[in-house]
Amino acid sequence: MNIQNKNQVTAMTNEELYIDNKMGKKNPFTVPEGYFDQLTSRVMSQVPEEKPRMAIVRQLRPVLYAAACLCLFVIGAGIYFHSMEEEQNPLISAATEVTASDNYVDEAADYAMLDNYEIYACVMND
Amino acid sequence: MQQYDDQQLKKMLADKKQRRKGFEAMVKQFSEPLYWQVRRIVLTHEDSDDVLQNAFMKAWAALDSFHGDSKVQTWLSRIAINEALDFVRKQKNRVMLSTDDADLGLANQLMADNYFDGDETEAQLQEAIASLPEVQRTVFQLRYYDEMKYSEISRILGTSEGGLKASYHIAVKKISEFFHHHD
Repeated sequence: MNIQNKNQVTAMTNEELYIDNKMGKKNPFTVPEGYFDQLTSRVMSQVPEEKPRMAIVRQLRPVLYAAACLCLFVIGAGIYFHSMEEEQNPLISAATEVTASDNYVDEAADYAMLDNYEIYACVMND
Repeated sequence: MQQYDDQQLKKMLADKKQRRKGFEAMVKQFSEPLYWQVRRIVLTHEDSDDVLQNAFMKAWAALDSFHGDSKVQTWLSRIAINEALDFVRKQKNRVMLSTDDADLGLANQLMADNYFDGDETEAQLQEAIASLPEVQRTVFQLRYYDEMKYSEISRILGTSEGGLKASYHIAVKKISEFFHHHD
C-alpha cells in the first residue's frame, strides 16, 4: 500500500505495515510482449456486428405486421363468405328437387287422365 | 483513441448508434487493470486471457441491463472478477492445490510458468493467498493492489462492507503469519 496516501484510510495496522515491507507492490506476473496493444482489437473482432440486412428488416417490421394482418383478414373473410354460400345451397337443391318431383306428378296425372278436381277429392279423403 | 470520463462513456453506451464506439473505448481504457485483477485470481496468462475475453463478451451482452448506477469500471470489474472466481472454482475440482506433495503444489507450477518472474518465496506467497477462502482472498487483493474502497468492493462481490472488513483483517493476519514462517 502507498503509505503516503493515508489521509482517508485509517492507520495501517502493524500487520499491514509488516506485509507492505515484505511484499511491496511487486508483481511477479508477466505478459507476452505487445499483449495489451493487441488486446482491444482482439476483443472487438469477437463483438458481433449488427448486420445491415437485419436493420432493414427492423424498419419494415411494422409494414410486415400490417401486411400479415391484411392477409389473415382477407382469408378469414373469404372463408366466412364461402360458408355463407353453402348455407344457401341446401335451399337451392331442395327447390330443385321439389321442381323435379312436381314434373313427375304432372306426367303421372296426364297419364292417368285425372283432372285437378279429382286429384283434390283423393287428397281430401286421405 | 481519446480517453473518456465515466459520464461520457455511459452516454455512448446508452446510445445504440454510439454503443460500439463506446464499448471499444471502454475496452481500451480498462482492459489492463481488469487483466491484472483477473490474473491475480487465475494466476496463468493463458487462462487470464480467456477469462478476460469471456468477461468482455458478457459485458457486451449485458449492456442493455447496465443503467449506470455504478461507475463503468466497477461494473466491468464485477463481471471480470466473478468470471475469474467461477473459473477457479471449476478448476479446483480438477487441480490439486495441496502442498503435501511438493511437485504438484501451486508454488512449483508457478515456478515452472514462463510468465511468472518471482522467486520461490513469492511463488509460495501466491500459493498461500490462493488457499484463502474466496472473499478473503479477493478483498485482500483488491484493497492491497488496487487500493479499492470497501464500498466499491461491496458492489463487486455482493458482500456487506462489514463482512469485507472482517475478511480483510483475517486475510492480513494469515499473510503475516506466512511471512513469519518464512523469515
